[in-house]
Amino acid sequence: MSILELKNTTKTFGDTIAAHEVSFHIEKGEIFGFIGPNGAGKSTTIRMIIGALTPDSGEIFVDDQPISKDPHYKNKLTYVPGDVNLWGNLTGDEVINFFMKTRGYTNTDRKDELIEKFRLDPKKKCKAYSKGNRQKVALISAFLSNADLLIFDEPTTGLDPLMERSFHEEVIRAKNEGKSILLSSHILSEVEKLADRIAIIRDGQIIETGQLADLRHITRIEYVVQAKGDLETLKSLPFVHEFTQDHDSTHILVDNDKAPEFLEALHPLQPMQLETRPPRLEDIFMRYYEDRSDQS
Amino acid sequence: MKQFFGIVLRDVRFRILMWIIGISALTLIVPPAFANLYGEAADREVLKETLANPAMVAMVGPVPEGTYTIAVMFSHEMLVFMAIVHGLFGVMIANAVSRKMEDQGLLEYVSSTGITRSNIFGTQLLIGILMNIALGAVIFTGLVVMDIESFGLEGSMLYALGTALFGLLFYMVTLVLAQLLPSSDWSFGIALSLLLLFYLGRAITDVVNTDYSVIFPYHWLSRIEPFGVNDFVWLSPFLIIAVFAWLAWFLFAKRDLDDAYITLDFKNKTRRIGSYPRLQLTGMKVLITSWLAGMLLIGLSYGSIFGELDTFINENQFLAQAMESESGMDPILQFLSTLMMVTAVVGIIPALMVSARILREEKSERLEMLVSADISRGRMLLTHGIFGVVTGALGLVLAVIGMYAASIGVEDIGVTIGEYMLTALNYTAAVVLFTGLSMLLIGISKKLHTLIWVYYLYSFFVNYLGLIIGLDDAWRIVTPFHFLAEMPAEEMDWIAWAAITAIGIALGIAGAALFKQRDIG
Repeated sequence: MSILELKNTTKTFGDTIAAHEVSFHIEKGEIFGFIGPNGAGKSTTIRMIIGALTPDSGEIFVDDQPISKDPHYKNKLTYVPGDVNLWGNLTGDEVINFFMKTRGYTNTDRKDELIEKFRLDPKKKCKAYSKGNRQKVALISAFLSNADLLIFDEPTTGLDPLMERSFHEEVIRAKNEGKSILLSSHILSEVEKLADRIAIIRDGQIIETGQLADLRHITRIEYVVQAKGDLETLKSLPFVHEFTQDHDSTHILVDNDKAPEFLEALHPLQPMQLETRPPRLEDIFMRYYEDRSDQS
Repeated sequence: MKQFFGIVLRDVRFRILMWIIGISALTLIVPPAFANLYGEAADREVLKETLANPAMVAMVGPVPEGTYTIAVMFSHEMLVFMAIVHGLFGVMIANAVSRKMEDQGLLEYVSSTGITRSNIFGTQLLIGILMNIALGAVIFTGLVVMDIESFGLEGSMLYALGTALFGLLFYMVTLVLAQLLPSSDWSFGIALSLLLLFYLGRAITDVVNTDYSVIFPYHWLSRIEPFGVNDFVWLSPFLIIAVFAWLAWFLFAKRDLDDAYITLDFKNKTRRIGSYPRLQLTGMKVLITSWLAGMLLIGLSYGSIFGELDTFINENQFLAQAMESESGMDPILQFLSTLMMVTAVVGIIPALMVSARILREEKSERLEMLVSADISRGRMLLTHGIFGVVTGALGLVLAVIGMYAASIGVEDIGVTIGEYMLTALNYTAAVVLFTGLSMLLIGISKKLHTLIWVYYLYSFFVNYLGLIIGLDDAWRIVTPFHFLAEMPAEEMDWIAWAAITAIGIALGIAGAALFKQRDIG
């Protein structure tokens, strides 16, 4: 059963196509990663889901109901924007209370727990908050809600690593309570840690959807190697892609699913130091383009 | 300094240009119009007589002695009023390049790149001086080039210089306030209040005794009497600008960025804000209360000159009889109705500001959060519309209460408190219409909303000019004031009232319906 489904939703602003026939769905109890570079159409898509924008064509379903037919579908979701702006003259506490009151939830113990966990000073006026603190206010309000679908747009950009971890814990807790999460980000590693499935968007179009494990074929791992033997011999192998040398080490991009073959080939060259770097979003895009130009 | 000046100027130059074009256009369309309408000296003398009544003196200042040439007429009727606009120009730009930049963290940021406090202040000072010189130059050149009879070089120079200095004075006052107060909202609010309070203060003292008026900068302009006496001496009080400039610098150099000399930190306990209307009411508390206080003050100041009106009419029995035989109405009621209409036009402003507050939610992207929390957009806009109308109506009620209270000792005004209230109700129709139109424009697009201010300015000017130069009533046909009864002199016209109110409500509802549909953000 899917909590959210987008079918060919398109949105244009003048000449720019911000979202072109975007389709994906999110199962109940699933964390769904939505990744793409800045300006790829993530926020446009999310703003169509929350009803701020009306799609030019296509349909969005929440709980299998088209949202155009269900005026109150929004009480099933909660949303945290990427750049949270709050009412400068209200305190953090007042903002959280406002959202609790308007959405009708009352668990103040849980509120205190979250405020403690995110180390927010709730008595300060919002205009005195940093970006990260404003984000905390919105995140706390979202985690307090009993909505079935939590939507986060670039949620960790203003948070320090410690708070990022608290955020990840809360996302997992929400998932364990049976909620679904849409997590948009331009940082692959963050999504990788949490998401069950991902969709990759670029220039307004979804280019890949699926479980991250299934997408391994399109990712590459970067190996940074120092060896006694001549690494140049690896260059000709079919699964080795980029081969660059800086002063004392060699950077090699290798298809993710060909790691055993690569290590086997590397072994005779007596590696002294071996470091791997996780796949980056840019690499996925590079790979995607290569694949596409191969086909054409 | 050069680089900083360059970047700040680039940031505000469009706004400055718009203000300069707007103000000089407003100023320069008047002399040819006057030359057209009042080419005959005899006509001007008649007009001069009617402008000597206290209601008009309160609005435009005391009537100058000597021949009432076209140029004298122009400077008399325009100077004090245009000074408000020049002052507003100064306040807006000064606030934008000082406290607002500081609030946005820009001053802190540029400070870190080695730009010193004196560079920053020097830039702020220079922009204020240059923009007012530019405006003065345009007006001076315009007046000279048009070469209309009686517009001498000296007078044109004094008119341009006087208004430019007035603008610079409020620019500097705002810079001082920017150091004293903790945010740009505060410095703007207080500067604007001073600008308007001085105008009202001058209105009272001009009627009662012009000797007291000298404490108000508006009166310095009246005293210059450009094109008449051309009294250069009255430029000298503007030397106080230098004091304010020094004070602003002194205060700026001595404080930390983001700090203020007057901190207004109310340590409130957590308020219970559980609905959108409550949320907005909390946010607009200062805006609404200060406007209501302002409306009461307008009422009190107009009410306080009714006594003078009475004396004036008793002393000018001939004029009074002439007016009465022409219109068949008690002249004092006529003046009262005139002031009432001016009050009503001003009373629309808070209603428009309150109704447009929803755009602030949209621009800051908070509206999306509210929408995602299942708060209905249509209801949000209706909330603003209702608050706008209530604020506007309350303002009118307070204004008439002020008038009534301040004129309670004047015997010849036979207007009861009930009639005053009915007058307030009458003009509430205009408030509803303007608010409804504002909502309709918000419903269509956030950019289009600026049109409501264009329409408002149009209505303001045709009514204002209609009063002082007897502009043809045809100009007012697209404003509600053409249709509404001019109370309390005329009888309440319930049909016009109901029709205008109904149109306003319909526009508002249509706006809310459209707002539900349109893309936001």
